[in-house]
Amino acid sequence: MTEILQGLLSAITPVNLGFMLLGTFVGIIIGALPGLGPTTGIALLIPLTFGMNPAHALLLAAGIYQGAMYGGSITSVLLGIPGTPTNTATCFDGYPLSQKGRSYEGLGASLVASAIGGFFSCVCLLLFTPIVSRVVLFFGAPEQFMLAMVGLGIIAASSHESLAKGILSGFFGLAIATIGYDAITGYDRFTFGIDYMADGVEFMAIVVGLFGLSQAIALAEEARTIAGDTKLSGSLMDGAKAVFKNWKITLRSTVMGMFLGITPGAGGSAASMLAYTTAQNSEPDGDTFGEGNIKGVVAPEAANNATIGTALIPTLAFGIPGSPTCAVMMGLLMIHNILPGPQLFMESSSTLYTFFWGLIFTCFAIVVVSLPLLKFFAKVTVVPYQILVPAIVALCFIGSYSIRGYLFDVFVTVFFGILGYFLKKARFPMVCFVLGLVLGQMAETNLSRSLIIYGDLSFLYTRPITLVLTILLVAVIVLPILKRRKTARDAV
Amino acid sequence: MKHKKSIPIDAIMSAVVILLVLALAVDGFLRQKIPMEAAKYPLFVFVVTAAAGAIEIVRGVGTGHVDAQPVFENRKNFLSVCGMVIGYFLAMWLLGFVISTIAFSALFAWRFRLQHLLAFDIAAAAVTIALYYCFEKLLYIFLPTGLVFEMFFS
Repeated sequence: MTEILQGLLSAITPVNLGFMLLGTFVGIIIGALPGLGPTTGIALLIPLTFGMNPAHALLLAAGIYQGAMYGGSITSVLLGIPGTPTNTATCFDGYPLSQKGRSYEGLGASLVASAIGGFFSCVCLLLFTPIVSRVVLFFGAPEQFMLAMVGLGIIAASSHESLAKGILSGFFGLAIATIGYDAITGYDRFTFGIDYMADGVEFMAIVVGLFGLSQAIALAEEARTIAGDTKLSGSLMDGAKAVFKNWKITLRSTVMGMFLGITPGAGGSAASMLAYTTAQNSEPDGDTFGEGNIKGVVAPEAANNATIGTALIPTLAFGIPGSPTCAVMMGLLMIHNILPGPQLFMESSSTLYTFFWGLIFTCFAIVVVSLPLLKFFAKVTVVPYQILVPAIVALCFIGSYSIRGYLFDVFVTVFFGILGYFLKKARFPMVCFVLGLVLGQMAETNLSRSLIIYGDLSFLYTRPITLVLTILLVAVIVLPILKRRKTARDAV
Repeated sequence: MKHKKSIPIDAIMSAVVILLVLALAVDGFLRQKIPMEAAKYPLFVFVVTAAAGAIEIVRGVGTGHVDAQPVFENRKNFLSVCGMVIGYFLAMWLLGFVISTIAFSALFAWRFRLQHLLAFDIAAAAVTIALYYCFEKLLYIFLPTGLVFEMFFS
């Protein structure tokens, strides 16, 4: 307790607050640039912190982490381009909101939902790390496989128009996710002899094409601004109010994000996608998701930022980073003589608690830093398309190129941009495609691992957590089908 | 909803997805000859995709594709923007980020009749160069320099 209070007192000094604000500002800018995310931001920070006080360095990193996780939602809402992969689900309803002239509302909702999700997750990190870290040990390969299957099962519920179309989209995503080295056997698969595809097709290059570039093509075709003829309406406050009005979604998505954050291999993308689809299927107005429903912004943003704190728990408690960002963060901690592992809280608790408090305060910092910027950013939706489209296309190209430095990824963006344009015209559910893409590798790798360990599928009913998840999977698939049949019967 | 032109876009896109998956299958199973231990899962995924695609083709053609949105509302604009995007990609590969971006912005603004073209071109050039230096000097991310310049300078 004393260490927690010492950490608090250290975090609230003017210099430390200044570092947090600076980090948050840089993080928001980095997150808003497609292709750059918290991993790049913290990686770029590391060499600059060599001579710095450890507390200052960690608070700067906390700001960048929190800011970048949120910043990606700005372009998701305004331009339909996810700033980071974890903000992909925000595009589904954020961009349609902007098209209706309600960008202020979308931005306000994403800001407050991110702050709330991040806050609860970081409080959990501060208070419950020793207890929560034990949960990680219960999640082996079979549990992770079943978790991915439950996520994929949501495809059945998300295919409102046609189940076949949903399955086609979802399995097309799974098929794309099989490209590249098989994680278990190491065999090169479906690469057409192209070396750039050996590591798989870059997720970010696909989603930037699918959402950003295809929107730019549609804008140029229709020769209009994003908001069209509608005037900008609503305010940031309306979006903020929507988060509290839909407190159940905010809370549920936050809990989902915290849970998936701690689960190795799941991460922010899976959390935001699952929170989105859960909200879509549990809300009475779920049919309007994808057409600019504010709940479709609240759910993924709360879940996305709720992974921040809990994702750090396995990193700090066991020294096992659950995501690339956590791995880079671990590197930063080690440079400053904070060695993750069971001894961590005994050896370097004071600085560590300052860092935890920093993560909590940066949830408020993203609100303080963003507010003046958002009013200005929202006007992008009324910029003439002749100016905006070249900017979006250039941003998409930079985004997909800067991840790995391959022009091949830009080609992937162009390919999926044109394909995405037609898939949207044919009303293929993009949610299902992205679910398949996000969960594909997690499902396959953990299935193979489980089969190696057990030899057959007996793990589905011999392990308590997998048994519960198997029952949940059946419910997730069967209930929407029964519900749809009942609705059809009632209509007759 | 009745559409201007009756293009069965649902069925066409389902067929396109099946073809793409088929291309993956031919490459993996026939050309690369992936061993069975690494092929079972993808095979399952491909078969389900093809089956769902076949159902969707039948449904799309049979129901008169009621779900789909109108396609090619402005074919001229669509073809020009797609052409320019592909041209931009090729130009970036050959001439690098700066020249291709400035050329693409200028060409797009000219094609879609933006007013104050010269002012826009100057601003676009300035922003592009600033962005290039920001990425190179601050973020250490080196945007494409172009095949022609690479050959010329190396």
